[in-house]
Amino acid sequence: MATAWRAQDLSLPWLMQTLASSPEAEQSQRQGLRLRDPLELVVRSLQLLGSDHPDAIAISLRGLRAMGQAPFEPPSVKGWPVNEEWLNLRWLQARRRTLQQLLADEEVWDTRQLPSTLAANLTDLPPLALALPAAADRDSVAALFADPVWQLGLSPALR
Amino acid sequence: MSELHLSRRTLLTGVAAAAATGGLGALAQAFASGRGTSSSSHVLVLLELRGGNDGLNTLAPVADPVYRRARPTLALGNDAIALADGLALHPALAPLAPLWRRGRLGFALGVGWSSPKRSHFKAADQWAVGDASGEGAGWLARAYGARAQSGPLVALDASGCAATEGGTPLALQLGPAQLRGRSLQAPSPLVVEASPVLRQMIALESAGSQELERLRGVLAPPPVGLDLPAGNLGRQVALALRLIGSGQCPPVLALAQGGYDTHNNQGRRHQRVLNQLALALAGLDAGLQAMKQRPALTLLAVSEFGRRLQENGSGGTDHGSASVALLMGDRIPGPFFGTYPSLSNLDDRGDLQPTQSPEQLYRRVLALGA
Repeated sequence: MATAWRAQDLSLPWLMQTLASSPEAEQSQRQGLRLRDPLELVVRSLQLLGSDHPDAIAISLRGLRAMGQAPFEPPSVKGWPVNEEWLNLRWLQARRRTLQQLLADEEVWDTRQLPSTLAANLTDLPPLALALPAAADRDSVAALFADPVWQLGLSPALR
Repeated sequence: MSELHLSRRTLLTGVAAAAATGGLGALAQAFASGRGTSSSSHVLVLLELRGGNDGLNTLAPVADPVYRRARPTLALGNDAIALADGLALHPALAPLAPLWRRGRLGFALGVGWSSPKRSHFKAADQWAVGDASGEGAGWLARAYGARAQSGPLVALDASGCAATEGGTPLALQLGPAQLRGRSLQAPSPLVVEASPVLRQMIALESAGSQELERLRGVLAPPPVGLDLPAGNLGRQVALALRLIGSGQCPPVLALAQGGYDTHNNQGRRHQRVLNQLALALAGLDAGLQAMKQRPALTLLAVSEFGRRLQENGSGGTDHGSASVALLMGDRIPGPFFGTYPSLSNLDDRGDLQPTQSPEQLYRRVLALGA
């Protein structure tokens, strides 16, 4: 890389781009994926659905409590759990159930403003059980919401 | 192993919380010590009627003049199916009349909380937990968690079932998406290895995926010659029959039907959902009768609340209080549990006063499977 950089007249943009696309950098990004907070997960799911129906808010607030993150009620002064501290079966099931309920609610579905396709850049890793891009129908959104990858995001430091 | 440690700790917390709520904790012990711990000897089917089913027009006190005065346009007419004690079934439930005559159908009367929440979501939480606080593990999760070999609790509706979750038994979902076989079993190992948190998530959920895979593998063929209604509930009943006929049916199946929130045009809308319900249950019963060998079955259909006695100005009824729950199956001890709430002795909001709590109803239903 050093030789190539010299051949580029020590161009900094070239160096940045090359570093960012190196296998090591990609590996580092994957290592840096973390489990999103319930709030973050619910917000991005609501953003994708695009519904502002009151049911969507009610299901979300109720779901957040079951996922362990009732808004404005952190468990201690230390704050909320982070990343793998959210990992337990009970909370994971609550995440899954809440997203499914959002999608199953007919009022929320009738007021959706989904894009026509689910773009490949919706997730930071390719989903495990769904190939993106895909048509944004109810089945593919269900598959996306059920996919563990939907719950992962890059650490802010790596964005 | 930190994820396993966390998981166990959380589960233990859940169990402790369940014990602290009393009632069902004691029930779980009684239930666990009963006979029949094999997962195939008895199947409990929970059917949630979502939206707040109008118990007053499902099983109507047609002989009570107060009922007719309060519901000038909605009161059931002469086509209601008279059962006993001045109570009559909505005519849309006619497909259930043969089950009633054969003693395979019963009703729990006046079920509800003494100060019910008007919110669908809060009320649904209370019913899911079996406690007025609405917080803690689901009532089925707690009751079956006390059994030695309980097997998974399986929800067949796409939105899952909170009553089966939050406890020690594996709570699974076998909806259309899972049936189509898009499995999480085959992610690229490279991808999974590359992300530690993804690896942990998959490890945590793999027990569930393996069990789902097993259930999919043993499903009996789809029932033929049954008159199941088209739509979501009919699909769930067909799948339930395939599980029951598999010889390895999980001890709990959870189904759901929506459409009961009849604030307006109740006459037409209630007729439609009740008819779907009746056709689905009659189909379930016919499917059971056609099986040579099968576990005993009890189905409990509940709703988060009933509706107000007085009809509203939009040809509908608003969120109320006590309602009826429906029981169907092989071990129905009698036609009615409990007493019908008085229409003349309403609470301070003008709603029916419950005569039994959901927790009491759950105890009785669990005893049928013990």
